[in-house]
Amino acid sequence: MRCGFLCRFLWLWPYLFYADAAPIQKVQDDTKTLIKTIVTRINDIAHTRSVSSKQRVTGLDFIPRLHPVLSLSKMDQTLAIYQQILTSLPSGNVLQISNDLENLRDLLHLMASSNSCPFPRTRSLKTLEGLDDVLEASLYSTEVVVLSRLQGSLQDMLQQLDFSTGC
Amino acid sequence: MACQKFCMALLQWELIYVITAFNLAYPSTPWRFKLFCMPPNTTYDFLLPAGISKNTSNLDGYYEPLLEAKFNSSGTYYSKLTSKTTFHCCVWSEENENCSVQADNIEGKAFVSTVNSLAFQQIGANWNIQCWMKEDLELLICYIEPLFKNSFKNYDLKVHLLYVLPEVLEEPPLVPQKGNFQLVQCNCSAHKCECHVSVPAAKLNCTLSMYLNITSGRVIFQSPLMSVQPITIVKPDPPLGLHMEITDSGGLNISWSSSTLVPFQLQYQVKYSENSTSKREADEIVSATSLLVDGVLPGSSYEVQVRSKRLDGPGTWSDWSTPVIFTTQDVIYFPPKILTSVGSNVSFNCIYKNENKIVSSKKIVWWMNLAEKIPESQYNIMGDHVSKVTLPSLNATRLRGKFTYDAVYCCNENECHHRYAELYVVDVNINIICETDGYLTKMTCRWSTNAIQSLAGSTLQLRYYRSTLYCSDVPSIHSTSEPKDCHLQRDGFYECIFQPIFLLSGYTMWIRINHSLGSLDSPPTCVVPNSMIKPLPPTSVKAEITAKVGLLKISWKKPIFPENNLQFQIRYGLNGKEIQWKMYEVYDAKSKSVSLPVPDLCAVYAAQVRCKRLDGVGYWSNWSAPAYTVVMDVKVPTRGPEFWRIIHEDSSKKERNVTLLWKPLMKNDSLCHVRRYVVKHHTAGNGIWSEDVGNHTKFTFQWTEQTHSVTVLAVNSIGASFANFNLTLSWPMSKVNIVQSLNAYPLNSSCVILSWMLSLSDYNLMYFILEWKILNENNEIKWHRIPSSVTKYYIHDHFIPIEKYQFSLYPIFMEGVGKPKIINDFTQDDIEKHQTDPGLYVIVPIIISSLTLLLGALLILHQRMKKLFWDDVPNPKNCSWAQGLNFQKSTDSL
Repeated sequence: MRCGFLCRFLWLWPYLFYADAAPIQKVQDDTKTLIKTIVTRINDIAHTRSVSSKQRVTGLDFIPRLHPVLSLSKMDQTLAIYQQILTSLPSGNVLQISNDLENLRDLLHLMASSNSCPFPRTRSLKTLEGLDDVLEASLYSTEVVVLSRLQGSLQDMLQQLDFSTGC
Repeated sequence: MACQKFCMALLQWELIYVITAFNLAYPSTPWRFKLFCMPPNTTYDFLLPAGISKNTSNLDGYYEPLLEAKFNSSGTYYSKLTSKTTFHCCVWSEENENCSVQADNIEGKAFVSTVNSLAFQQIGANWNIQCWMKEDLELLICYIEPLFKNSFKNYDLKVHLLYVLPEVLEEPPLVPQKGNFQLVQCNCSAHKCECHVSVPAAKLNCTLSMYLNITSGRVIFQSPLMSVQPITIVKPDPPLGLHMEITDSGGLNISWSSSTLVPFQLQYQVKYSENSTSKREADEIVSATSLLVDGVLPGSSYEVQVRSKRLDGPGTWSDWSTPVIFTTQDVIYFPPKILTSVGSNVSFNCIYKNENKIVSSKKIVWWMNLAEKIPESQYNIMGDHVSKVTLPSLNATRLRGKFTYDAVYCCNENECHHRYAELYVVDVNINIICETDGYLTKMTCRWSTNAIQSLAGSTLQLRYYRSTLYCSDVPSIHSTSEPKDCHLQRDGFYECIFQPIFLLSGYTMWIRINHSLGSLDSPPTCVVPNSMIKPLPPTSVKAEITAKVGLLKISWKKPIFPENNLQFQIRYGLNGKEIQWKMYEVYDAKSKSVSLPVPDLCAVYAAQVRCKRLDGVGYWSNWSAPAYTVVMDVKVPTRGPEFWRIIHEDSSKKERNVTLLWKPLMKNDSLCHVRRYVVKHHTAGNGIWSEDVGNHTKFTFQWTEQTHSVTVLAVNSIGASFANFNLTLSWPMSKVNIVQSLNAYPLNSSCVILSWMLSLSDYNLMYFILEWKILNENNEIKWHRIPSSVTKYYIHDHFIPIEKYQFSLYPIFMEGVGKPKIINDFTQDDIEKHQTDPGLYVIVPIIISSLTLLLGALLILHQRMKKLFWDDVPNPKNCSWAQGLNFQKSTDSL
């Protein structure tokens, strides 16, 4: 128990340190700006723009769907899954988005710490079931859907952050 | 009974015990042993000389010469052998005093007896055998030489090694069959034989079975079957690269390079001897590839050798390396060279030996570059002989010719040894500038090496460490840093590219200068890519002069990144080779255009826009591609053209044709292109009507009525001019004369002044028209409109002096054109006056010359008179009566 508490404290220490160093308003502004940046990046990828939103793609249930209200820790978990999928994609242009998600998750941790509701970082997830098979067979669909859903999720998060920056 | 029991016990002790070891090979480790052989049918109860104990431990040293003497005598025995005789041999090693002998031949059934080796040593032929694996793990070498070299001097030795290397690992090894053995002939020369067996890498751990057949004349010495795992008898090559140097702490560091071929760790044995005022020798075993020897003295020599062996497990010592001798100088600096950065503190230590005597540390003084003595307050006595100097807050080393270092001398009071320590102080303040591209995917960092060009032989490397978010207040060098590839550019800067990037992470980076003397780090700097953004320039930049409003409107679109609010800077100017830019700044992030007043609405303007984050963080983008305005009609012309008329009267037809003349409107007035002119007529009888003249600047119409008013309008694509000039042609008014006089004065060939006087009038004078032309020629009439308030006017034109000009001044009234005042030449009085004027320029010099001549004549005359008047005055020197008289005085009184 003692070790668990200590480990948890040590794990959160960097975020507590950064929370002291960076004003919370700056963190919030940077978070919103980074979300907008990722959304614009996805928009800028040509083949995601032409995808119809009316058509529903099945068989990609491992990609998170939109959730209107999320806590900061849930946001982190969702982004972790997106990040894992993106790093599995061979496209070069999603690598930068994956890095952006890494930064975004760090910012969420920082915000949570500054709001006195820190949460442990989502550890590296187990390999998503069937991801490799899906990627091999339906790379295009996966990329399009994951980017599309990520964009939607980010826009939801942005609205939520505008509305409330609590835990 | 007792005797029988004793004999039995003795037999058991002599034979020890007979082990029936069917199919068993003799394992030997380590693989260095002696082979003792004796003829067949020899009993083992060979008696030892009296007084010698059977305990072999007592035999060392003392017993060997005795044996050799005995063995030399047995040489006679071998020579007397007439038939082929096989000696059976036993193997004896230092670890085992017993010796194993094979009672039967190898190939058949055999048993091995273990007997006391001493018996063999006394009666047989003995051999030293050493086998080892070479360091390359490919070759097994066995080295064979007779223990007593004289035994076989008359016979040729032939040695064969027979071995079996099983295909697979076997435990325990079985005695192979006769046909399985491979035979290797060994190379023999002068009592030494060497056998080479190739061992495949895959079989290094297999058990190799072998025996030796040594033939000397008719005698065959056959070893027992032996077995060994090649990997257990590896003998490394002697260590290489033996090197010695004085350490920074004043010790002697002995280092060497380790073998990279052996698959296990090695241990090393180092033996060294010091030869100075006193001698000392040492022998140490270490597992590292270096050894530190303390207390090095100046003027001493050190001889060192090293050998190596497997650290864990069985193995063989390598041969000793070639000895290396290192001699220390009479003065030892430690460290001998220091590389450091500006502002740091460094210390040098020194031991000084002068005339075979080590100088006391209290007498040592330090000098810098043999130019200045280092203050004694910076000395420290570290021992009887070790002096230390500390140099604080160092400045960068100044280049002195080819010397890139400061020379630090350790001196014995007033005497300095010629050797010195070298101090390299480098300014490592390298500025690293980073820039994130407009797509926010790449950060380029640049740095220059100009500051450290003096340090030859150094290499530079950018190292960085990424923190999760943002930078710490005080960036520091992190131990887990990574190197970054940078490429030298043509401008002398190194360029390093980070892609992809973490926009909000802190990249702490510094330059590491690697040199043979050590490494230095520049002060670390931390950048967050998000704060280093150089946005893409705004797109879709357009420039236009807005219609009707008449402002320069510049519009743009912000770049897609960054998402932060942006400020914009606009520069604009008249297009040309060198544009004189005017700047305008926009701090409203939502602005997409600005409208700016410009003086010339009909000129082409160039405009560019750039942007930067509104909070001032990052860089300005590049200027956008220039946008140019297109000249087009902005407003209706500001006015109609100035115009005049020429009246042609045909007295026979009683018709008067009036030709209107006007000058084309300039762009400033036409705004910007006149498409056509319209002449608007107004008469009492016909009312108002207009005539389209097109682009012409001349129009003729018939003047029929008493009064006829005309107006000329300029029309562009927007509409017709509002402010226009009117001219009323009126018969009654053409007789109204208000110009009393008109004078024309030529100033030069390009300018004429006209002045006039007016009389009072009840009419509304609007302006004058001044008309001039060359008289008597049907030349073009020139005219100017002159405001009514003016009474003097300068005409700038090209006037030909020999021509006569006619000047006419028309008063233009609201009611119509008045009677003109006409003169046909320049005003005569003035011409004459001007003509006499040149006389002045001739007369004045003549008068001045005359006066000068007159003055000269008067002076000459005065001198002449003086001479004439005093011609009869006697010379006082020749005339006695005149002596003593002062004539000068007399003259003065005169």
